[in-house]
Amino acid sequence: MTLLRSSSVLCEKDPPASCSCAHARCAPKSRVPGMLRVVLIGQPNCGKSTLFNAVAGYRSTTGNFSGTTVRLTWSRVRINGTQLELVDLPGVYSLTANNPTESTAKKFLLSGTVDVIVNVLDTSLLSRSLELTLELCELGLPMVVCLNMMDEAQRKGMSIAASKLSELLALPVVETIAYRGLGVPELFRQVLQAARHSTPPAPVLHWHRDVATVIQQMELCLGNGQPEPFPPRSFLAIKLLEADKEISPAIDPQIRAVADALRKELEQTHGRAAEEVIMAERHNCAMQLFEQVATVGHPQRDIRMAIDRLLTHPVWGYAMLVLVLAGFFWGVFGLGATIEQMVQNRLEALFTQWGRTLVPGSLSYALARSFWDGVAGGAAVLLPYLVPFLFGLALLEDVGYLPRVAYLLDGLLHRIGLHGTSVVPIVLGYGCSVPACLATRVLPSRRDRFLATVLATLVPCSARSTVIFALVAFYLGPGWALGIFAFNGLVVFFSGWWLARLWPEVSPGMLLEVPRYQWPSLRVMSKKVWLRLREFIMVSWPILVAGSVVLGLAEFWHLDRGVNAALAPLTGLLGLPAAVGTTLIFGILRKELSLLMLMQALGTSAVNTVMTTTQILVFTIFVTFYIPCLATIVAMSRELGRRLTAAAIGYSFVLATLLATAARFLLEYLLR
Amino acid sequence: MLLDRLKGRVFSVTSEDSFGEDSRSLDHAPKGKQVEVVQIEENRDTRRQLAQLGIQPGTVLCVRQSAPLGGPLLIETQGAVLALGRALSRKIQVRLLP
Repeated sequence: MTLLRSSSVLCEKDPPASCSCAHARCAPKSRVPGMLRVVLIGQPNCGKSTLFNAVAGYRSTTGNFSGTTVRLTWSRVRINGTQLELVDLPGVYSLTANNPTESTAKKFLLSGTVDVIVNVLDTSLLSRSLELTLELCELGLPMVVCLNMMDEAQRKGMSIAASKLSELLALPVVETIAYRGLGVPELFRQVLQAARHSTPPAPVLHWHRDVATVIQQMELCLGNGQPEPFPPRSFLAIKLLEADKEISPAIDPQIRAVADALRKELEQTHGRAAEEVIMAERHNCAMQLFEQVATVGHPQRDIRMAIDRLLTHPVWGYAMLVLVLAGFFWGVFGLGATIEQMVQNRLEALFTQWGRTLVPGSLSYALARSFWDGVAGGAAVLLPYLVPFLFGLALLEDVGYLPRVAYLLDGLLHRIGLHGTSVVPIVLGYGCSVPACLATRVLPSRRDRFLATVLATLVPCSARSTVIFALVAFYLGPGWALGIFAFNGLVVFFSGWWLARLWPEVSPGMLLEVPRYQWPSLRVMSKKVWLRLREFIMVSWPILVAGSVVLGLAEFWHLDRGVNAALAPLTGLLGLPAAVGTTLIFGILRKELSLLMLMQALGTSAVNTVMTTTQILVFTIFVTFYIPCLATIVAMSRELGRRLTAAAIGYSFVLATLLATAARFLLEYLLR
Repeated sequence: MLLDRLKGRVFSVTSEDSFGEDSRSLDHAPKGKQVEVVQIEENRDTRRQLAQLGIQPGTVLCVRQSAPLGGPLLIETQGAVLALGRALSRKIQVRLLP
C-alpha cells in the first residue's frame, strides 16, 4: 500500500534537471541501475559544495553565504573502483521547507532514489547542526556523518570526540576539512561501506513519554504491520503531527483527520504548537549529544572578530562599504583600461597587416572585417574588464562580505518595503542576471521573489558593466561611469519603492545567517572565475563573432536599413544615430553585443569621434535598463511564470525609454 | 520629535513588562549581555524558522551589533551569528541573565 496518494508531490514532475547553465548538470529523473546514488545534505553554508568539488572537480559554485547552491548539481565519480553518482543538494535547516530551495532538496531526498546520505555538518555549529542529523536518522537510510570545518571548531576552542559521537548515533562519523581535502578519502570509504552493509540507522531521539505515545498512535493509524514504506511510517507520523505543508496534503483525508485530533491533544497538554513541541525535543536531544561529545575551551584570538566589528559598525561599516565598492570600481577600471589600450592597438595593427591583400568594399573584406571585429572585440574590449570584475565579485562572495552588505542595507530596504535578504540576489545581479534570478529562490514569498528578480535584472550585469567601462569610462572618463552606476543604484532603489507599493504585503523581516569570514583561496577563486569565464568564451564569444558577421553582411547588402528605419522612432526620440537601431536588437541576444555592434554599425572603434557625449550616455543608459538578455528571460519565466516575466520585461523597456529620453533632454540642456 | 520617540521608548518598555522584572523585547536588550528568550510573539511559520536557526524559548543569545535607522540586529547564539530584522526582534521577549 502506498500511503501517499500521489507520488508527484514528493517527486517533482519536472525536476530542475533542465537547468539553463551548461556547466551545472542536474540530477536526472531516472537513475542508472546498479549505480550508487549518494547525496550531500546539511545546513546552509556547511561546505557541501566544497566537499562535492573536492571529489568532482570544480562544478558546483561555492561561496561564503547561505544559499549559494539553489539547485541540484550532480556528477559521476569513481571512488576506489566503484562508480557512484554524487548529488549536491541545497542547504536545509530541517526537513520542513520554508522556501523553494529547501523544498527542492527535501523532495529529492524523499523521492526514494537515494542510497546513502552524507550528512555534512559545520562542526563549529555542532549543537544546532545535530538537530538536522536527528531528523535525517528518522528516514532510515544508510548514512555517514561528516564533521566538516574541523579547523574552525578548533579555532573556537572546541574539541569533539568523534568516536563517542559515532557510538551515540550508531553511525560512522568522519572528520574533514573539505577545502583542503583532508578526511575526504576516508569519508568515501565509509560511504561505500555503509552502502555495502546498508544497516539503516535506528532513531536516536528518545521522545518524552506523552510525545512518544502520540507518535505511536499516529504510526498505528498509518497501517502498522504492513511492509515499511518509504519514507518510513515513523517519519510520516512526525511530519503529519508537525502539519508539514508538503506531506499532509498527499495523505488520505481520514488519516489526516486523526492527525489533526492527535495534534490538538499534544497542543493541549504542552500549551504550544505541536511542531514546536517536537522541535524542542529535537533541540534538547541535540544539546545533550553536544554536551556529551564536545568540550569547549578558550577560543584562539581571532582578528576576524575585530574586522567584523569594524565592517558592521553603525558608522564605520557604511564608510567601509563605500570604500569597498569604490575600490572594486577603480580596480576593475584601472586594470581594464590599461589592458584594453595595450591589446586594442596591437590587434588593429595586426588586422591592417593581415587585411592588406583584401580590397575595401568587397564582400571578402566585409566578411573578414566583421569576423575580426567580433574576435578582437571579445579579446580587447570585453575580456580586459570581465576578468578583473569576476575576480572582484568572487572575492566578495568567498570572503563572506555579501551577508554583511545585506545586514547594513536592510534598514534602508525595509523602508521601501523590501526584504533585506533580497540584497544577495541583487548583488549577484552585478555578476550575471541568470544566477541572480535563481538566487531569489531563497526568499520566502512570491512577491519578494518577483521584486528581487526585477531589481536584480535592472542592475548592470558584468556584460553591461563592461559596456559602461569600455564605452563611458574609456571615452568620457571614469567619473561619468561612476555616475552611471550611482544613477542605476538610485533607479533600482526607487523602482523597488514603487513596485513594493503596487504589491503591498508585510515582509516577514530579515532572518539571515551571517557566516564567519573565510580567507579567500586563490585556487578556488580562479576556478570559479574560470567556470564563469568559460561560459563567455564558449557561448558568448562565438555569438559575438557570428552576430558581428551577420551585421557585417547585412550592412554589405544594405539589409540593416529596414531594421533601422523600423526603429527610427525610438532612436529619433533618444537622439541617437539611426545606425544604432540594429545594435539594440542584437543587444537582446547578448548584452555585450550592443557595444561591439555599435562600433561596427558606426564603422569605427573610436566611438567618441562620431557620437557626442550626450549620445554615448543616453545609449548606455538605455542599454543598461532595457529588456534583459535572452538567457535571463528564459530563467525569469522559469522562476516567475510567463505573466510576471512579461510584466517585468515591459517595465524595463518603458523605464529605459523614459530614463534615456529624460537623460537626453537634460544632458542636451546641461552640456550645451 | 525626539521627545515623542523617547516617550514611545519608555512606553514600550513599560507595556512589555508583564513577563517579569528583567523582561523586555530583544531590541531593547543591552549590547554584549547574555539574554534568555522567554517568549516569541510571531506566527507559526516565523516561529518555526526562528527555531530552525536556534532561537526558541530557553535559548541564550547575545546582541553583538545593531544597524542604524531601524536596521537589523546582529545576534550570536550557539556559536552562529544571525541578522535579525528590527520588527522581528521586537516580537522576541527576553530576560536578562545575571
